Amino acid sequence: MEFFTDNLVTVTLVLPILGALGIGLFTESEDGARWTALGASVLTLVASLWLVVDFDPDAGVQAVDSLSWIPSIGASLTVGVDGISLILIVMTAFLTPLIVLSSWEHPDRLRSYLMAFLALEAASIGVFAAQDLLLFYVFFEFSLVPMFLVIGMWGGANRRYAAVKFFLYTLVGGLTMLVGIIYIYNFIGGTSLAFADIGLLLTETPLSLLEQRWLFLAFFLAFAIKAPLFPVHTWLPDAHTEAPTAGSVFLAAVLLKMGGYGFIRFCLTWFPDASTELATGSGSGFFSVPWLMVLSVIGILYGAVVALVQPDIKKLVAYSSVSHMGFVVLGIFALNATATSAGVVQMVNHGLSTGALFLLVGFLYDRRHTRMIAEFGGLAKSTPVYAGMFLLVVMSSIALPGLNGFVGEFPILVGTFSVMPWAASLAAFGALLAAIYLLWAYQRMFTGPLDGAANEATTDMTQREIWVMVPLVVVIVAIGLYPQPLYDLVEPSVQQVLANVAQ
Amino acid sequence: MGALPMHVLATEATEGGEAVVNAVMTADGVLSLVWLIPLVPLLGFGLTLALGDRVRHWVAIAATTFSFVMAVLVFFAVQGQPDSYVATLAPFIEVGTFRVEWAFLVDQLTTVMLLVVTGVGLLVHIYSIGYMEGDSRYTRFFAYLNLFLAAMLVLVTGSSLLVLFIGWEGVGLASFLLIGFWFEDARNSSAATKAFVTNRVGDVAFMIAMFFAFSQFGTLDFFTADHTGILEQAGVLSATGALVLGLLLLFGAAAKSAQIPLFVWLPDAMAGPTPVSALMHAATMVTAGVYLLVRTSPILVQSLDAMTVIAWVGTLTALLAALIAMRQDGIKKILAYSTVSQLGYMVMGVGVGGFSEGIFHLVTHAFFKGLLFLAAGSVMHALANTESVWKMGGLRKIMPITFWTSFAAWLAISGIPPFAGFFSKDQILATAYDHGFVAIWVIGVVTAALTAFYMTRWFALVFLGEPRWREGQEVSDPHGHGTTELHPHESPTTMTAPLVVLGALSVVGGGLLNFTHGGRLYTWLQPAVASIADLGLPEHGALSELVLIIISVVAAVIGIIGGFMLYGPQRDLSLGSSAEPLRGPAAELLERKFFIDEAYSAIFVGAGGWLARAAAWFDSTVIDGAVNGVAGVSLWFGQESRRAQTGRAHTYLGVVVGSVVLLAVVLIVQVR
Amino acid sequence: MPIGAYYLVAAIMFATGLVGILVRRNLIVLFMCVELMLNAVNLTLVAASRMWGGADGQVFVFFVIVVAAAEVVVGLALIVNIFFRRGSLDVDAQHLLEH
Repeated sequence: MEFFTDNLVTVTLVLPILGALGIGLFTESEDGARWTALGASVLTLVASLWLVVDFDPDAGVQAVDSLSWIPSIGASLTVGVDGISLILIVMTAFLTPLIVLSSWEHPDRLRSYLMAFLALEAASIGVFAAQDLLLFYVFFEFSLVPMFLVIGMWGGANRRYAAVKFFLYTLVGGLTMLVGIIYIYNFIGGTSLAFADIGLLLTETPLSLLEQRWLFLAFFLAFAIKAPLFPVHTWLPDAHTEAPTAGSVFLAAVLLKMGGYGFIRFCLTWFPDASTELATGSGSGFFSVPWLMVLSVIGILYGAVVALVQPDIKKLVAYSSVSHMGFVVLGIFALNATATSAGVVQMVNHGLSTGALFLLVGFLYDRRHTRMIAEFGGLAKSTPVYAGMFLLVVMSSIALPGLNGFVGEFPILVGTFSVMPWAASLAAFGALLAAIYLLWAYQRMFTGPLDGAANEATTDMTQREIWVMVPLVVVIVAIGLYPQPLYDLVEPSVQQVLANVAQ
Repeated sequence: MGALPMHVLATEATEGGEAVVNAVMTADGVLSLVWLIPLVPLLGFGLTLALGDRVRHWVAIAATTFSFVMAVLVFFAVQGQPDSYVATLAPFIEVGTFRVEWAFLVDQLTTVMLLVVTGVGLLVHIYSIGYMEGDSRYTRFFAYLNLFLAAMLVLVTGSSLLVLFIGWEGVGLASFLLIGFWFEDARNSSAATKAFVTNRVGDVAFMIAMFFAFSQFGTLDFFTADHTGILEQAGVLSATGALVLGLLLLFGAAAKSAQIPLFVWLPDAMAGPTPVSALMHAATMVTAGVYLLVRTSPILVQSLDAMTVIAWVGTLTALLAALIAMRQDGIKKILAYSTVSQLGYMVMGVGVGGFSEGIFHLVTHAFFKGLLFLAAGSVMHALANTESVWKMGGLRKIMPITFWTSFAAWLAISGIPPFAGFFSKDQILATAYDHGFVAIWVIGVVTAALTAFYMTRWFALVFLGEPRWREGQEVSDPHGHGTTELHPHESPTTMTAPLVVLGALSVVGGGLLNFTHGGRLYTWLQPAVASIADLGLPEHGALSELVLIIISVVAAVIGIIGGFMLYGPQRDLSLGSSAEPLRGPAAELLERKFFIDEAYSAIFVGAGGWLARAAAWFDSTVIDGAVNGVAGVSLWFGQESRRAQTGRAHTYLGVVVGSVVLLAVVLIVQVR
Repeated sequence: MPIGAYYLVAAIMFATGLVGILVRRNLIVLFMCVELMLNAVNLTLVAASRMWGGADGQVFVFFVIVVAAAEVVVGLALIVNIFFRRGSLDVDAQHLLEH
């Protein structure tokens, strides 16, 4: 037992892998696969929550497990968590059982499907927990493979294109990051690739501004594509639209967060001068423009504006993700405790809200096999429970106070305003645009006369679907009313990162 | 009950300076439980939704009654105390330098708002029992009403701009749900979306105001332990800062309180059930903007320019809406524009420095406008949801209670003494004149005449003269529920009782509140609003108070006479709407609401839609085109390179020979 | 005779063979041209060995002759097989190596 509690992070990481292997090797029926997947993901959630119980927010990175891997280049299997990692891991672990539940009746190759998601979960937890640069890179790239399969094998009509586009686009970012990693490896003399050691070395002998700029660019590209940040965002709409429901949920909720996480963990921590320069525009010439803020604000407004005219509800939500992640990146690079912590919390909130939204859209797609808003109308009459849940999640997405979206978005904007008022003011319009495109979609789909037999025949949510949504709804409301625990968890770690930047 | 975390602040009251700031202390007892007032209706909402049709309206009414009773208790507890009280429930968000708590504020201003909101709320709940009877989603309606009440109560008791904003957006949500209550009709849900989105525009301004306030004050609390609350240190604002903040707050309030340029949602909101119109769009929700401005009056008085802008926005809105109301034909539409106009008066009052006067008009308006809407509902109920006033008339004997209460409300809104509206409207105009805003005063008087005119028109067309309907006539239900036969009769007691209560208040409410300088309401509110002493406005104008009163009354009488001349029972209006005497291009302009809706539609919906489509094209063609282009380039490269693989031996031989020759040349040259 | 004459003859032979493999289509003729080039090289080596006065070049010629013989054996066997399968010895008609 102690073995488990002493190595909780490893356990959390390994459980989904064991689940996937279990499905592959030991189950033959679909039922076996379902329950194994559910069991593994629930156990992972329990393990991650256990981590929270023992967690000390002020102690930095903790629960570190280390195993020697490739000593000749200093790579080790080191995992550990700080506030930022932990909250993202918990979110991942929380969503995976819901994804498994929502895929319960998936008609096509269920066993492989569930295996893919468990592998995804493991890869994602690995990304957030990795404390070694090579390990991080491996998990980061590895997460692409199951996602590629999910989109390509179980996706919609245009799935091949979307899957390949997703894979190659994200891979390119990963490759530039690899160049950066190799440079860092050479720079530190090839002794260790552990974060702690690299961090230590970089504080003793900081990189020159020129080196920082190039390395920042190398890492930035990978995470900007992932986040996604304008203008490298166009893989997202296709990937989201063509992916099956659970795939879209995981993509939006977890994979995108790797971008935000990477910004904090690498760009802010190791290249603080370059980050500051690009975030505040304090340099000269090209660097006198706060590019990071400009791109974030453009992303917020542009994503929202394009979402306005999407006829496909999934594509609409995809573009809304671009817009919402713009808020997150804006907060991160505002470089103060309020905005950056809120950026992290908003990553969790966005995962919950947009995950919920995709799940709901998926339920509708399961019944009607169409995603076109024009095909729906007056659904509030035939599916009142569904309409109510949809409206709640929409309200969360447009940052209605009292729900979780607000408690992330508002501090982001308050914090950003103190450093760059114009950015915060423009970004606030994003809230207005979000209300427009989401409420208009709601209006078209759910209100008005019930036109068409298809709309009348649409059945309301089943018990299982309700059980999938209830935890999400509860958490959305709970965080909306009392978010302080999240902030307590995240803020000290953010403060540590920012202290490094300030120097 | 029992020990609750109490926020303890003790200071002396400071008079003079830029603003009157209360000492903020705690007390035990009722005031520490002020957070129950919004919480119980929120629970009522949840319980009613969860328990469904088993509870119908009982939970909601119980919750509302509880809140009303508590509001009364709070009123008595605040009496005699000059201070404001803050009850802190729990932390909300604390990150970095940003700190906000779930905290609630009680002072004299709060109690006035609490009584109005819970009182009128309770009356509307009771009214709804009769009005919504038979509706398939009867219980849901009461749940939403409770939700609204909860949000509105959070709004008025919030002890920081943020908590106020939570309630502010919450009433927006409730409004969305209630306007679109009969969502099967696409027009209703369209109106609901329009309301929410238009309000959101103001919300953006409100948010930016909050960002700015936080950057200036370091907090969003109205009062804090060390006197750094935004109302306490309003003086730190620079002149420009105060102007900016004041204008942002105005813009936020303009959306909620339907002022220029964001009033367009209110007339459309009449699509909702009439109790909703009465409660939200007459008495409470739309007054939130006025409340916000009065609550932040210590900030507003830092900038005379901001206040002047506020005054003019209110004045012009009042005039514009009154003009439009003159030529509307819907029984509720007229009242809607009237509400916009009266809200304009309240905002005008705030802008000229009459904060308490603005609140007074808020209170009396809740009485008579709430009554008017409920009466309109009563009439519509009797006439099978007919909406056009040209299909009404002759209801005096058939619906006596409705008639006489409407009579009282009509006189009140027209500003005839001693009815309630006279006192409040006159005080605002007097304040405007005394503080030197003579042009505003003139426009206000003209608008008062117009108000009397269009309300007389309303009253006469709805109740007086010969009926323009027939007993037994078949009419089609505008809500698409088939046809009904007309058998108009007085409404049930659940509907008429609230009418009577509000009617009584419309008659005596003004006098009872005895609003003069030194009168009851004025003195009551003094500690809670800012003093305008430092603004340098004159105290009195040339004309005396009595002369001003006479001018106001004369204007009202002129309006009433005009209304009777054109629409009174002596005229033959049997032709219906073609008997409308006001015609011509000017009248047409008024009837088409100055084409403002059309203009907004063209600008925002039209241009906005074009912009969105352009952006979507840009995204798929240019940006994605670049991405696909990169893929295309690599594909092309591969295709072209493939051509070298001809499979023919000769090609390969040729390449070999060529390479050898090249190599030889290079070597020879090098050796040289 | 000047030694250059031998080089000249060898060069002409080599060029003839080279042009031959580039232009001629019959596999057997191709082989004959390759042989021609190999023999041209042999001639050059012998002449050079005579010019420089050592035996190195002449020894090398023996290597070349052996390799050429081996290559001819294998090559002709392949040609026979190709002829049986394809029915023609036209090298341009065999798209065997195409993508």
